[in-house]
Parts: sequence; C-alpha cells; structure tokens
Amino acid sequence: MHIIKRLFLFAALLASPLRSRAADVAQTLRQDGKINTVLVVVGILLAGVVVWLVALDRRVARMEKENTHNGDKA
Amino acid sequence: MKQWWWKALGVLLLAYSIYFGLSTPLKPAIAGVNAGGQVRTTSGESVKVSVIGYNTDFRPGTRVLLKRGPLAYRAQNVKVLSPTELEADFRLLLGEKEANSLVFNLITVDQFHGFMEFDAALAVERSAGDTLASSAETGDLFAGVKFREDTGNTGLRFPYRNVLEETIRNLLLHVPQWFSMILLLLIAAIYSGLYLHRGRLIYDAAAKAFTMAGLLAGTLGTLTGSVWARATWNAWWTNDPKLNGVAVGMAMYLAYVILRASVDDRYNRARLAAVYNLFVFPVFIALIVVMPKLSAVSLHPGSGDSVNFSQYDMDNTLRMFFYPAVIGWTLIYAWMAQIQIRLDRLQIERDMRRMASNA
Repeated sequence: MHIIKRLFLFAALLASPLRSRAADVAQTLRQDGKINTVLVVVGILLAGVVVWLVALDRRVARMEKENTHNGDKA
Repeated sequence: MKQWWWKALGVLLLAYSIYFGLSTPLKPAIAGVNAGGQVRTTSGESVKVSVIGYNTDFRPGTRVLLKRGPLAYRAQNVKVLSPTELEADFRLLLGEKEANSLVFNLITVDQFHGFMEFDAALAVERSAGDTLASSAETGDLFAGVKFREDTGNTGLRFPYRNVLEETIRNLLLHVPQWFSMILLLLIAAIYSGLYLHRGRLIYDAAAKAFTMAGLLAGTLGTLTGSVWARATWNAWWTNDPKLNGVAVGMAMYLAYVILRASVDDRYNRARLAAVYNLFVFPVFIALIVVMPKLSAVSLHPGSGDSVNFSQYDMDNTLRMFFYPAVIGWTLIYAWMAQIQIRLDRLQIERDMRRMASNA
C-alpha cells in the first residue's frame, strides 16, 4: 500500500504544474524517508533511454528518406 | 543477431538490480529524538525524550538507555505510543569529577530489534550543587531480553543511514552510471587507437557510438546526482571537486562532438576525432577520479576527506546488487551503441557501393 501511495505522490509531483513551485518540490522530495527522490531518479534514467530511442528513430527515418530519394533499393 | 545473449544478460541484470534495489526494506533504526534535534537538559531535572523509529515495531517491554563510554543509564519510565514512537523519562545527575556538560547516545534494547543506537541524542548541563550520578548500569544490556526468531535485522535489508534514509537505493542507480561511463569511454578510446592503427572507418564509428553512449550515461549521472544532492546535501549543485571535474570533463567531450560536426571529409574527421579522443580520455579520468581523491575536502564518498563508500555505507547486501547493476547498465549502453554502429556500417557500405557504380 505504501508503494501505491508513493506512486501517487510521484505522479502528483510530475503532473501538477500548480504544485511545482521549488518549495513544494523540496517538500515532496523529503517526505516519507525520501523515497520520492529515488522514484525521480528512476524516472530520469527512463527518460534518458527514451531520448536515445528518439534520436535513433530520427536517424533511421533520415536514412529511409535518403534511400527512397536516391532510388537505392539495397 | 547471432550474439544476442549479452543483451539478454544486460536486461536481466538491470531488472534484477532495479527490482531488489527498490523493494528491499531498510533496517529498523532510530530516526531521531524529539523531532530531530538533540535533547538538552540540566543535571537533576526530569526530561522526557520522545524516540522516533523508522521501520520499527516498538512493543511494551522495550528498554531505553542513555550511554556514554562504558556506562549506561536506564530510563525511569518508558511508554510505547506506537510501533514507531516511544517516550522515555530520564533524570540524570552529573558526578563531582565529571565535566560540566556531557553528551549521551540513546539506546533501545528489545527482543525484536536487538540493539539500536542513536548518536548524541541528549546533552546534560551542570546545575549548581549536584554531585550524584544516578541509576547507572554497567552489566550486560541484553540481560533478561529473550530474542524472537524473526528479529528485524535478519533477511534482505539495506542499512539505514541518517540523512540518506531511503535514498541509499540511489547507490544502485546513480553510481553505476559513472562506472558505465568510464568503461564506455575507455572502449571508445581503444577504438580510436584501433582506427589510427588500422584506418578502418568502422572503428571510427565505434569510437563515436561508445563516446555518445558514455556521454548519455554521464548526463544521466549528473542529473540523478543533482536530484540526490537536493535531498541529502540540500543543494542542486555544490562546489564539490567531483562535480567541478565532471563539468569541465563533459565540456571537453562536447568539444569532441563539435569537432566531428565541423569536419566534412570522412577520413580527416575520423583521424582528428581519434587523436582528440585519445588525448581527452586520460585528462577526463584525471579530472573525475584522480583530482577529487587528491583534494582536501569533498562530499563524495571516497574523495578528499570523506570516508570511502565501501567502508561505510556499502554493505554486503548492497554489493549483491551494485556490481550486477554496473554490468547491466554497461551492457545496455553497449547495446545502444551497437545499433548506431550497425547503422553506420550500412551507411558506409551504401556509400562505397555508390562510389563503385559511379566510377
């Protein structure tokens, strides 16, 4: 049950622009044994992998476009 | 995809380290007294100390003592308010020969948690005319305590540290980024050397891909470190030698990316990038590993005046997940790099074919 509560807190931290004032963020990061800090860290790592995937996707799209333009069917 | 096994291994190790890193509970501990601060009292006066536990299961029968050196003073009265909260009454008298001010550690002893200690919980000042030390116990603190089988300290548990608290789990998330980054940049430097030796463009592609993967790991390490610092050091960025070193080092690797973008000819770009990479890697290592170790003051464990993580915060339970996490992250980043290298190979081969058909 604790995990669910923490996930809600994490979602609230990320989702609500009204709560995102620096003081509130600091407050949220501290409570409950600071577990939210760990969840934010996991979120950042996940975001990093997604950024790499987006870059890879764009690169493949560029190569596909080049191939059709040049009529290269290899 | 002949050799997919290392990718599966990377995913498994990462899943293993993240699952146990997030689900393993912390050891029970005393988190604080009287809402965080040290309790102050004068000699001869009764004082109520409220003890806040973390992950504890306080029950009636818990003993509370104040300890200083070999002496322990038992609480006159203990009231368990909840599994994580209890109150203890003390009345201490400073002896004639003792200092005018003494600081005590607080100890709880019970059958479930065994022995828990909180440093510098209470300070006593001398008042006029008191000469007697009261109710000291010097015998076995555990005498008469019958320990239950499932004590709170058994099973898979991470250590509880003040200030760190649950964020000790970041050790399995933040630190592997740096270990991976150093490994990836080392692989990149080796490929740069190979390019200069053999002159094959695929080695240049590998050097580039591993450098980019290393930069991603470094960026994520910086961001996660910043969030961790906010929760523990109370600032997003500090003047720590490790942070300064990383800032300069990342700027040097940014120059590598710009250098590559500024040269059009494939072979010239490959040669320049390889030379620059071989120069920048040892400087980078000096900046983020050697210099912080030599500096006088550092917040980072293992640097400057700080105690090494492996001596203090790292225990065998964490180690079970830390090294798999390092290998897992490195394999995942290597996978990311490998896809880029394969795309580069396709591009190089296509250009070669075009040149051949144009000739």
